Amino acid sequence: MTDTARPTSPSPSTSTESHFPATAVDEDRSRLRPIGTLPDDTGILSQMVRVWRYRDLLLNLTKREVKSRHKNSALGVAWNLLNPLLQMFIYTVVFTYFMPGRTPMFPLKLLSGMAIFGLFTTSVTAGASSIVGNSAVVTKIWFPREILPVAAVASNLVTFASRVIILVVALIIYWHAPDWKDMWLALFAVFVTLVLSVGFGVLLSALNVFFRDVEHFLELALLALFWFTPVVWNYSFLASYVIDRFGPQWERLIMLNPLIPVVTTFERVLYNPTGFPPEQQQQFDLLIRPTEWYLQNLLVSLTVGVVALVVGLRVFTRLEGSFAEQL
Amino acid sequence: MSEMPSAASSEHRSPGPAAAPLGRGAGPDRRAEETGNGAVEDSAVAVSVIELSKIFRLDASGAKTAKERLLHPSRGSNSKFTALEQVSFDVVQGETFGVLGHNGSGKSTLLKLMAGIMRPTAGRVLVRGRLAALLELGAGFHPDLTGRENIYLNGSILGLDRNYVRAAFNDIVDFAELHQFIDVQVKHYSSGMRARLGFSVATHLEPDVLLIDEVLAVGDETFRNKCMERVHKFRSMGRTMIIVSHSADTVRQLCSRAAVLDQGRLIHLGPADDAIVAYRKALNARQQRLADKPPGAARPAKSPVVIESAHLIDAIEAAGTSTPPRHRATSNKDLVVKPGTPVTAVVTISVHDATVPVRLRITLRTPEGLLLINRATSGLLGGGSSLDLPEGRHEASFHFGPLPLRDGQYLIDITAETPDGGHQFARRAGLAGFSVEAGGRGLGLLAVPVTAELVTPKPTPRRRADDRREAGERAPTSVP
Repeated sequence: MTDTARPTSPSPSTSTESHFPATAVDEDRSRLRPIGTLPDDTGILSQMVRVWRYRDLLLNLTKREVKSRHKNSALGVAWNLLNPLLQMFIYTVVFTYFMPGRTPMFPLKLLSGMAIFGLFTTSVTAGASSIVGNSAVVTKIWFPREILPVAAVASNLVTFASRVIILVVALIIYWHAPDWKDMWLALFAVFVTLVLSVGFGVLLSALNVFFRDVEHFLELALLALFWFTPVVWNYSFLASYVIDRFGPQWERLIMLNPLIPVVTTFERVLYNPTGFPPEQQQQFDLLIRPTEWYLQNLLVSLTVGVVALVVGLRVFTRLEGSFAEQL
Repeated sequence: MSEMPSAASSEHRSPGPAAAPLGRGAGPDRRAEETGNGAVEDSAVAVSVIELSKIFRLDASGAKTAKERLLHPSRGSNSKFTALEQVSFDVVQGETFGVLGHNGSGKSTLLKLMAGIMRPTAGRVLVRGRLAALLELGAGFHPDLTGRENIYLNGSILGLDRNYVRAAFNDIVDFAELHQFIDVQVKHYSSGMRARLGFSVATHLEPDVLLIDEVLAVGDETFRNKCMERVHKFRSMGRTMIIVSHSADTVRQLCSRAAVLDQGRLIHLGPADDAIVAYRKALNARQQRLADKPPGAARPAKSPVVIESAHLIDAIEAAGTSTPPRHRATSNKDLVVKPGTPVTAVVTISVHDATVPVRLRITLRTPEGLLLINRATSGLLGGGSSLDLPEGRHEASFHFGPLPLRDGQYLIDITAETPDGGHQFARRAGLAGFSVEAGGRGLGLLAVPVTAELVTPKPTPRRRADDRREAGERAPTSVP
């Protein structure tokens, strides 16, 4: 039977031949492209180009994420505002009445820290479950799959924007001025956070297909990260402890938590402790640093983010071919 | 749809997969050499499948937690399953190509590899232009989104821009007949609605290559007919289609060429009719393998009757003018007849217990299971409702009158049962068979003469009045 495997005389119908003259053949053949993602197709640049080529799809998927997130809830998009407001309310009650601190305008500090920290947590959580959550599409159609975690991160920019709106409203209510001069630092911090989110989101989304433990682990890891990052507490607590115990040169080591540079920058610029009277400024002495200090820290975070992105994309491409089998 | 000038619109579909995946050392050049000495050289190749293999690790799907992976890191290497082995073929642009295979032959794996959903273990698939796949007619809808949103989402997955999808939108909804449900979430759709929308989206967004799995397996009769129309139209637009099916009829009806898969290997490639013959042969061989597995073990010891064998002979052999039938038949499914030939089935049975009343039942059917003749021996073979045979071996001949059947294969099942048909003692399905070869490519089951005549009705007075009026209206313009 194997002798019939090769065609003896394949005769495509004459009508197709007349449609495509022989002169067109060479040009046409060169337009054959491999389908799917090849295992050797790991160039980070080519992956980014591919995502860019599919930007229409990225936009559609992002819209879809935003829409479907609140599709069956009565309050719908209002949750984007309600969620941070309620969080802020809880923490403010706890840290003003139960465990009173000396922090002035505590809700402002909380809102600025939570805005940027929340961008990372919600993005990474959504990114990690993006492939598994979209199995209906992943097992049916091919498209560059890395678009899914990227879209998950992008859709959380909407949540972030609503948190920033609340922060702005709170700044107006308190009539407290942010540090306009260093506002670009805050924007850079947002960019760094996005790189970190996409990096970890891509990496975890691929791993989650094979080990569903990733989602559970991530929940705990993010909780730990939250308490190891100065969102509700003051950066000076940790920094002064480290400096007293090990010496001032070890302060840099704190920055290995990539979220600390991002959150401190956001607090420095938007919460802006320089605007307080000198006696209140004292507790923020380690946060009132020159611009270069913040920029250096952010660059450390950015490096971590880029490494995560490169490793994430590598792992993603390696595992991508087996997604459909595993889902 | 039709008002979209395809040449102009192709400029708009900018980010198509045609340009998207960048392969290194891509093989077009190597491809050109390869196709030069065999496959298809005349027309542009739309899809090129090159030495494609897929091996599954069987236990991998079970181990989903890190614990299992860490505890048994090396376990995966042992049990492997080769779903596809070294399959190569080219599909020419504009042709409708069939992939035939029984369940488990690897055709679904091949489809998923061609669609790029799974990555091959070895080999590659090259595609020219945009490719859309319709797997299980699902098309990849997101359950939380409405039909409308899903149409746009699918469009962007195919790399089409929004305006293009908007232009085709009404046609898609019309075809799927979902006007009042288009803003309902897809998860509330019935499976039929989902299938209709999937088919409609895939065919209206005009991919250059369309992969369809079991095209007409879903939907009611009306929708199936509509799909057929659509498929024909799609073909007439010069687009490439690959239909994966286990139904020889579907492939015969739609495809010009076909590949046949058996146990993950390509066993035939060529014109559809030849492929169907090869497919039937493979099916028979498979049935034979399955039937041969438990030869004596399956035979219940206390059955009063054992069906030994059966073979078929045509009328000439039955009359004894040809070579002796038993000598000639190498297999009991080799008989080939022309339409309208009487056929005789010779069934050998052994009676072990003459006290139990037994009758035989013979059925003639298509391999797909369509029942053509179903006859019990009540009233035959001596008249009574049961056979009163002494113990020992007997040979019963069933003579079928001229069978007006068209091209295809037909199978015989023999059953031994109680005279009221309530209990089966023994049953051998597909024990014998024959093929009809009319030498033409026809559809349908029956080869019955059909004549036709044409009557053109005389023009009615009303119509003539219309003509006159039209002429009258035109007249003034011709007068200078």
